Amino acid sequence: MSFRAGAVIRTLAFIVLALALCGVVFELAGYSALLMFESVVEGAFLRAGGWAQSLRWALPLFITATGVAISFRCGFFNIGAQGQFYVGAICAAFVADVLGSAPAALVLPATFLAGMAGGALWALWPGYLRLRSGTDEVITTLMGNFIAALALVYVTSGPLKDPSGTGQQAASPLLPAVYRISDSQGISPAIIGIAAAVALAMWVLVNRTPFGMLASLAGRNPTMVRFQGARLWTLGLSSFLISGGLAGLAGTIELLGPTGRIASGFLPGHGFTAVLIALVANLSVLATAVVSMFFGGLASAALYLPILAGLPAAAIDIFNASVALFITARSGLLDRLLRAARLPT
Amino acid sequence: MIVGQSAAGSGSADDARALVGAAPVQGTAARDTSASAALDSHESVLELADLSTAKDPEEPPLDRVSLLVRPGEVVGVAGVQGNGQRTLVKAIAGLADTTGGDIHLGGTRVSRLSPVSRRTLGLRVIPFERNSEGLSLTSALWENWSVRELLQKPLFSFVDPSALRLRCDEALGTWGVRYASATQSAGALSGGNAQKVILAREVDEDARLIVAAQPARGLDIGATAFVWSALREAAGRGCGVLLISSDLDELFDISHRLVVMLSGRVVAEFVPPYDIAAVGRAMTGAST
Repeated sequence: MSFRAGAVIRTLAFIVLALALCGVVFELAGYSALLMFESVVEGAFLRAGGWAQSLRWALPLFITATGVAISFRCGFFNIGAQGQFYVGAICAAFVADVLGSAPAALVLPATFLAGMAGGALWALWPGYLRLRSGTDEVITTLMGNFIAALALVYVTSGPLKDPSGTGQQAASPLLPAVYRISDSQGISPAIIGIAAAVALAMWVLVNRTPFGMLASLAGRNPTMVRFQGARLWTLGLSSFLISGGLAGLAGTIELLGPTGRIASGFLPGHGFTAVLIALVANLSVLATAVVSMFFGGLASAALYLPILAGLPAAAIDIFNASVALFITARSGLLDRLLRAARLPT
Repeated sequence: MIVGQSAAGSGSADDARALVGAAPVQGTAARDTSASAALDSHESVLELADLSTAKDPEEPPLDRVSLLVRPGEVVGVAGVQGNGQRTLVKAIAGLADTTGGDIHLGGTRVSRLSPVSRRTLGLRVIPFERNSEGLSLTSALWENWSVRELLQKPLFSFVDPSALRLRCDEALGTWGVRYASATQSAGALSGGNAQKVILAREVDEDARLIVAAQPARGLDIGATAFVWSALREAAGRGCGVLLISSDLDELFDISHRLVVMLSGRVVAEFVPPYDIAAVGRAMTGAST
C-alpha cells in the first residue's frame, strides 16, 4: 500500500512539475499562464457538457492505453498504437463498406471483429520480428505508424473515397445512422459499456490470471521466467496481439461512433497520447482509467482554449510533451527530494 | 559480527551451526546408509544417455554425456568452470537444443518434453545465477515464489493472488527466510535469504530431482550450511540431487558419487573415499 501511495505522489509531482514548466513557457511567450490553466479546467469539466466531451476523448484513449500497458508490462515497448488504431479503423471501414446494406446486427459485430483483427495484425508483425530475430520493436512499431498513416491516406482517397467529399480532407463516406453506435458527440451507453467491459477484462487479465502475472515477471526478468519454462513466444505475441487488438477496437469505435467515417490523418495524436497515459499510469489498469480522464479532459479543453484564452489548441501538445519529458526522464532529483521528505517511493 | 548475528536470529541457526561443525562425520554416516540403499535400487530419477547438444557460443556443447542419478543419491559434478556445466543444466531443464541421445526423468523419456512438463515430473532447478536466472529482483517475493505454480496452470485461468501470498508467507516461514512482507521486492533480500526463497520454490514435496548449480556460492557460513542441510534432507526423502560445483571440498563432503566434466564430456567417475589428486588430474585432463 505504501508503495502505491508513493507511486501516486510521484506521478502527481510529475504532473505538477509539467504544469509549472508549461506555465513558464506560456508566460515567456506572452500569454497568461493562470488564464490558460483556468480555461483548461473550465473547458474540460466546468462548462456545460464539459464532462461528456472529456469522456468522449477519454474512453477511446483508455481502451488504447490499457493495450499499450499490457505490452509494456511484458517488456515490449510497442509504441505503434497509432498505426494499430489506423489499421483497425481501415479494416473496420472496409468490412462496413463491403457488407453495405446488411442488417446492423450483422454489420456491427463483423466490423468490430475486423477492427480488432486489423489492429492485432498491425502489432503481430513487429512482435513476430522481435521474438523471431530480436528486431527492435521500437523501430518497427514506429515505422508501422507511418505506413499505416499513408495507407489511411490511400484508402480514403482511393478505394473508400467519399464521392461527395469536398476534397479538402480525404475521407470515406459517412456511415448511415443505423450502423452508428453514437452520434457525433461521441458518448453513448454502447461506448461506455464497451469501455467498462475492457476495463474489467483487462483488470482481471493483469491481476488475476497466470498470463498477467507471468507477463509482468517476464517484462522485468525474461531470463528467470524462461528458466522456469515459460514460453516467451506465447507471452510476448499474446501481449502484442492484445495491445494491437485494443488499439483496433478504439479505431472501430471512432469509425462507428463520433467520427462516423475514416479520414486521412484523423485523431493524429491518439496512439501517442495513449502511450503517455500508460506510462503516467505506471501500467496499472485502474490508474490508466483515471489518467485517461485527465488527458481526455485536456483534449476536450484543447478545442476550448482558442475561445477562452486566445491560445492555439497546440498549447495542449506542449503540456503533453512536458509530461512526457518528466515521465521519461524519471527525474532522479525528484526521487531524492521524495526520499528526503521521508515519503515512500 | 554481522554474519553471526543474523544467523543467531534465525530459528535454525543452532542446527545450521551444528551441521557445519559436524558435517564431515554426519555426511559420511548418511552416505553409507543411503548410498547403499540407492545402489540396490535399479530405478533412476535422472538418466542421460549419450546426450549431445548443439553448438553454443557461450559454453562447450555436451558431447555424448551419460549420467545416472538414483533416488536419494547426491551426484556431484566437478570441473573447471566453463566445461559444459551450464549446458548440462540447460539440457536437463529443457532449454538447450539436443542433437542426440536421450534424457529420462524417473523412467519417462523427456527429451522432447517442454520445460514445464519436465517440472511436472518433479524436476527442480537451482540455477547458476541466483539474481538473473533464479529470481526477478524487481518483482515481489510472492511473484517469484509462485512462478513455478503459475506455469502449471492454463495461461488464461483465474488465480487468487491473496491465496498465493498466504501460501508464500507459509513457505518462506518454513524455510526461515528473513523478510518483511511477501510484497517486498526480491532485490531487498540478502544473498542467503534470496537463495532460501529459491529453495522454498524448488525444494518441495513433489521434487524428484534437484539440479543444484553452485547453490552456496557467495553465501555466508550459516546460509551455506542451511543449503547443504536442505539438499541432504531432500536426498533423505528419496529425491535425487545433481550438484554442480567448482568447490571440491563441498563436493567431496556431500556427494555419494562424483563425475568430472571436461570440454562438454564426462571424463571420469569417482566414489568415496575421493582421491583429490586423481580428481584434479581428471579436471585438467592431465595424463595419468
